[in-house]
Amino acid sequence: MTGRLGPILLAAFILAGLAGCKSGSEEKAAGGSPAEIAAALNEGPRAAESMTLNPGLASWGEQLFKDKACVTCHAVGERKQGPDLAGVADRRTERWMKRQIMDPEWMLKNDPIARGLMAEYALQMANQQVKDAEANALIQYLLRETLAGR
Amino acid sequence: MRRFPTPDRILMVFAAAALAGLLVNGCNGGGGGAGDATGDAARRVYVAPGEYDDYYAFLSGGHSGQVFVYGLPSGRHLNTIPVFTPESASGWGFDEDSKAMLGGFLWGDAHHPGLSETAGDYDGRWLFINDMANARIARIDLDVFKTKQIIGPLPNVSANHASTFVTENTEYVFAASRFSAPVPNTYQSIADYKNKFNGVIAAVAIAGDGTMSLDFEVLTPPFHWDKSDAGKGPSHGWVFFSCYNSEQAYTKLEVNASQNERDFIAAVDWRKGREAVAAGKYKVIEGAKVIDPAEVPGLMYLLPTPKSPHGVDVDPSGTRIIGNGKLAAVTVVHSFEKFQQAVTDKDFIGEYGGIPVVRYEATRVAEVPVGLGPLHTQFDGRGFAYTSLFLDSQVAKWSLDTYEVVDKVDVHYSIGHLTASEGDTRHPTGEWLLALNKISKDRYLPMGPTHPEGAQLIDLTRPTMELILDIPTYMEPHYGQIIKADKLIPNVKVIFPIEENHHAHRALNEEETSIVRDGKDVHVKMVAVRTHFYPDTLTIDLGETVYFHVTNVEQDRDIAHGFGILRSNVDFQIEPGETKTAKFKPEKAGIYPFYCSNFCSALHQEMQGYLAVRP
Repeated sequence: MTGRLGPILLAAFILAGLAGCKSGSEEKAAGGSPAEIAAALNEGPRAAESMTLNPGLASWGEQLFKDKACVTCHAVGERKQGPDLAGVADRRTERWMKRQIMDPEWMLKNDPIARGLMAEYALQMANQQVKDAEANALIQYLLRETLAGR
Repeated sequence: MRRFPTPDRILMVFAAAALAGLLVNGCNGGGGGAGDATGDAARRVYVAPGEYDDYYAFLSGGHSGQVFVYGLPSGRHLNTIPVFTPESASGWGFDEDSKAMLGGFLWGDAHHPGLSETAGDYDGRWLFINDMANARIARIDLDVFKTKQIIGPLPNVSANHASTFVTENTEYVFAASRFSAPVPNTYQSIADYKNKFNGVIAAVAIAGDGTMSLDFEVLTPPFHWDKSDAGKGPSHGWVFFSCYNSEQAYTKLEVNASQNERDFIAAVDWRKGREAVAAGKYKVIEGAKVIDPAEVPGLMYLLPTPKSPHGVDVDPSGTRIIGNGKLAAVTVVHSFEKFQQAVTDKDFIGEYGGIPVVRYEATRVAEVPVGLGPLHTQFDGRGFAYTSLFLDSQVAKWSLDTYEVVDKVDVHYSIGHLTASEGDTRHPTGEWLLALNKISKDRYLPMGPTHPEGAQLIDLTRPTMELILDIPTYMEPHYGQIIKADKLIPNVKVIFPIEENHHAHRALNEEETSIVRDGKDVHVKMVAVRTHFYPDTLTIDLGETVYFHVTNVEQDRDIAHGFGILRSNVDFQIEPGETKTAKFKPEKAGIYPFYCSNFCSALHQEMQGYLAVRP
């Protein structure tokens, strides 16, 4: 059996090496390390400052909030399984919200705020396959609720 | 992936090859490494972590009733698709829809998977599979790899073995009686077999959306229909069935059905069958439109073929019909063109029940001395055929030009079917051949008297066949289909998009959930999401039946939830975006916890609820 370990270790070593190289080059192409990208996401003005309310889009967002089942974990003004979204547009940037909605796995791996939320709620944000336009509408809905709640 | 390893993978592959080399040299006492002439067997079958196989292999699960999905060339078991048999982890036969599809049967005998075709090549839409025992055919949709329709038991068909072999453009799949019986099936003295029993060939039409429906049946003499294959190219429009027991024996068949030097391959023109039905030339028996071939000239002919032929296989060009002798040491090649000429010339030597018997010498173009126990033949697209030899435990490679055997390889042991990569289509890829052996004996670690079945992978790209991988399987693959993975991958859905969920009882969020009473029935629309059910508590009265309609509202890939009720026979998996219904009628008052039985998240243990049953 000892004789078989050599090739296994060699294979594992080579694999680990290759995996490292590959992910490194991918990140370079994306323009920065994951930590740098994540840090930049929540920099700059909050969504409520940078965005202009589009009421039509916000109404669609309200419907999507139900149809995409966001509502099973989130509410505005109530802590359910996930964070209370009251005032979220005053806490986060638009870019951060969009990535958290569309790419929650990446956020959990790389973003300190998402990791902190995971620690607090012990629940992984679900990827509901929200499309770009749908994410914009959802953020408009959350913006509307933030402004209304001030 | 296999042929062109990228430079950065080569070292890895060599490491694995060295490992496999050690294993082969160290402990394989049964041979099988002998075909590895260049010592790079491991490299040829190695698929690195995270990478995909080149091919899907669909293997029938025999009397387990299922279909197994393997990746080739790695031989990794990827998944099992439940078809004819209940399976508790997926909940097949446990939720109301799949329970209805199984129709009360607890078993099926799945033999021959058949992929849908367009112009004679696999198109990756559907996989059909027969249940021999209960005369059913199932359709698996290959966008979701799930059984979507089961038709049958087909009326009048008694043991559907010669199935499913799909026509060139998926117009039909066929069924045929292996154990002839009275039609309709009423009591008759078994001694009246020749007069009172019949075989039946059934044509099941496939609609554009894959829906199967019984089109017509053909009444035949009480032979035992064994295997079939559909024509292609010039022979498109015909389907061929092999038979044993042309002796029409009903007892001690191993002797009494092995008397005749030649039995038959039946050729059926299914277009003529369709025309006959349109012209009203049928009788309705047990709801099926049954055609008597004596009344429809040109519908059916019998081609004498030695001896109790098992597999019948049409070559890629569609010009040759190959009968595998089973009890003869030859594989017979019939020419489709010569068969057509014999029909024109009425070169017949007799008839059975009005079905003409064509003169053997008129259609036969070769008897290939392949070896003992030839059962099935596949093709590589380069002019060679591969025939399995049950008694010799070998595969014989022979030329479709010279009809000479050019190579043989030992397999372990007692091969039944064999399946080559796209090897029964108009364009076989000629890369791989899977030997589906009936007996594995000493090939694997001993595990008591029950042995795994033994599939073996043969590389067809070398000058001689090289057997380079043993693949144990659960009971018991008969036939298989091997399709290029890139034909399926673009169409595979990895979730059920929630926008496409039109289930009558779906609930997309808590607002849409409900508990509604209808007499003694209680309908609960329930949401499952990491990591709770909503509602998660409810109370019913003893005597009421509760229907849990559970929607998994997740859209995350591979986040399935389970729904299991304690002290019950309710448990199933709900895939992302799917709604399933559990019916539960408690027999005692008390508390019935239910829970997520499929690990979903860090708070999976907390995903539970309580059903209270008031006395």
